[in-house]
Amino acid sequence: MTTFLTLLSVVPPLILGFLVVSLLWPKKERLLTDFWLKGCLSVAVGFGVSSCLTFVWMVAVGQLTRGLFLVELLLILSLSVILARWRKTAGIPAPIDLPRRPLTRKPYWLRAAVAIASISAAVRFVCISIESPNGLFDAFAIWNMRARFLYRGGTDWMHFRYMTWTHPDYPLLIPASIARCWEFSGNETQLIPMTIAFLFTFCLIGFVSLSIARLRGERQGLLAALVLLGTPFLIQHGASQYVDVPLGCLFAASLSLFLLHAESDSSPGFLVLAGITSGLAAWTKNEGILFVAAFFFLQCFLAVFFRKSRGMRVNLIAWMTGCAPIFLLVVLYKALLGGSNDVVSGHNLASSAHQLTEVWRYQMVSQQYVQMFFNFGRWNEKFPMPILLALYVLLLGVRIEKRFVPSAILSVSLPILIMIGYFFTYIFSPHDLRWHVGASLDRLYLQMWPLALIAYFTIVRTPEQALTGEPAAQRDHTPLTGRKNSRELELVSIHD
Amino acid sequence: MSVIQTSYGARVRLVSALIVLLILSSSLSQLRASLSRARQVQPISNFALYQQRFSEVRNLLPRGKVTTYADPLAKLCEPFVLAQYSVVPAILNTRRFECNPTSDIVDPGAPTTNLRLGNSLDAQQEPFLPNLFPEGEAILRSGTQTDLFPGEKLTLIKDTGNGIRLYSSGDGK
Repeated sequence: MTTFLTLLSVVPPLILGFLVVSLLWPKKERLLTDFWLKGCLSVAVGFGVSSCLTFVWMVAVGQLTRGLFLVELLLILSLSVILARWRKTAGIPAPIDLPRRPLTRKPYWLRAAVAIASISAAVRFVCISIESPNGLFDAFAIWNMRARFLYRGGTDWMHFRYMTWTHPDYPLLIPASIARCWEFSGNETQLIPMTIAFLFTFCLIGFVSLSIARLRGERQGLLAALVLLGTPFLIQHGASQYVDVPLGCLFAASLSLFLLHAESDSSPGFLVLAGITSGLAAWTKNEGILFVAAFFFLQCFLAVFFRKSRGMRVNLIAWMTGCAPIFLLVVLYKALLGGSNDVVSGHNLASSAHQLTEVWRYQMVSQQYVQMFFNFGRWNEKFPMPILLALYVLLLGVRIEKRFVPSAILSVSLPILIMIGYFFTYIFSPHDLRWHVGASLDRLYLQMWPLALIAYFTIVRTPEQALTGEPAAQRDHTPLTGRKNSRELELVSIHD
Repeated sequence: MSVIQTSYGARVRLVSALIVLLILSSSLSQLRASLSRARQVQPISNFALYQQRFSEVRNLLPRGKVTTYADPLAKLCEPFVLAQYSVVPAILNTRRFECNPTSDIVDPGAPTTNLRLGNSLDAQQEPFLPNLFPEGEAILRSGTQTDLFPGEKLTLIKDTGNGIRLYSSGDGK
């Protein structure tokens, strides 16, 4: 019964997520088109939206009560009606049956490899979860602890803000999702955080793979899935119930949705969704705020420097439409709690200026950045994944269509800009620097890893392109929409 | 040209195959390790046993208020963190907290009580403790009970067993 209620408790957020995603998905496609891609996105959006709703409910009512589920149900019903009417007015789209030219055989062996790696990863995830049902240190010291406060705390649920050692300013996407599910099932079972961690980990892999498959073809998507499944730290860390994996999932979703919009003629729904997932990243962990800032900055940059390209300013507004409400919620949460941040508090201008001039700090952080880059994933020491990927790109080359240059600039710059932001966070850190870098850098790289892979696999030539020498417009996968007379910018091409 | 193309195609396939093989081999070896570790998992974990020690006292602690806490493993933060995790929504404060030495661990503005929660840890009574806190094994096995609240006049409110004792200090509530 407990297991049934646990599984049932995660269903409403998934339905909610699916409805929000479907409402913002391009009208011209059928409801169940891209079902798996939407399904993976629904996990992030669903838990995100339902956690926002939980927080608003708790602020309004004073504590977590089951009345929340009535509001959730009403919201689901309303969105269902809106979606049904909206699709009715949009008319029944013609089935998408674009001709596919099989340039090469179907990648059966690659599919089989992904299936084996997925099963192995899922079993490993379950084994780790059985070993540590409460997760590892940060999970029970911060996230699950916070969830217990929300669930057990009654009207004093916000008193966790007094525990200054446990990062009281960290936002609530994961704790509120867990507490909501506990309230729903009426049982404080560890199956809930485990299930949420499982869903986020595998939806991250699914979403990255499916969006790359949609952008660059099935082989490229399957390779991306294999690289993620072959990153042991991703599975271990996902099962440890830290929030870096959900955060990475939201980062990846934001960038993928941006690229899906950039490479299609769709309505700005993808961008509104990208805004929602960006805002939800800020609602997951403080690093998400840096992500929102970096994403916003890069879009402004593109709007200024690529004025002629596809209404970048309109895109920015669409993205902000999705992001702003959730970002305001984060601001409200921080204002209500009044919690200080361990990295920022106790810091003054003089000490910051002094740290900025200490050369050893730069040397140490740089060294750690380089060393950690090759082993944060806990890969095979002889063949770390970055080396294999470098070999792969050297062999296949890079291809960017000219009209996609702005989005390629954004996707490559985004992880770099965020890592620069993290770098200076370390430089200004009030903590013992060696401890601070050692305790967090691998997790920061893990957050960036899906982003970096999306950037990588969307600019590296696909095996089909490399082997046939065909331009991108004639790929054997169905592009979102085809602009067939575009020129291509070949930056690197060993094949040619 | 076709020879070059064939050679190039072979290299692309070779690198793809190398990536796939490396990932699969590492994935399967990790799977074996995970399965063998999972077979050794006890039905009730040490973590769960430690939490159970606090199940009774949790209901006695005031919700959302600060209770002073002490245990003999002053140099480790895990016993405190796990105790705090177990007694939520009560808030624990300790004067000897090594996890976060740069700041106070509880906001000075937090509502407080005069309660004291003592957590005596004795490996002879609870053999799982050294496995849970291996760094404190020597202290846990020594069995010597130190005064957890030195210099304070305390009145015992409740001894819930397993070394968990709740006291009031001064005009305690």
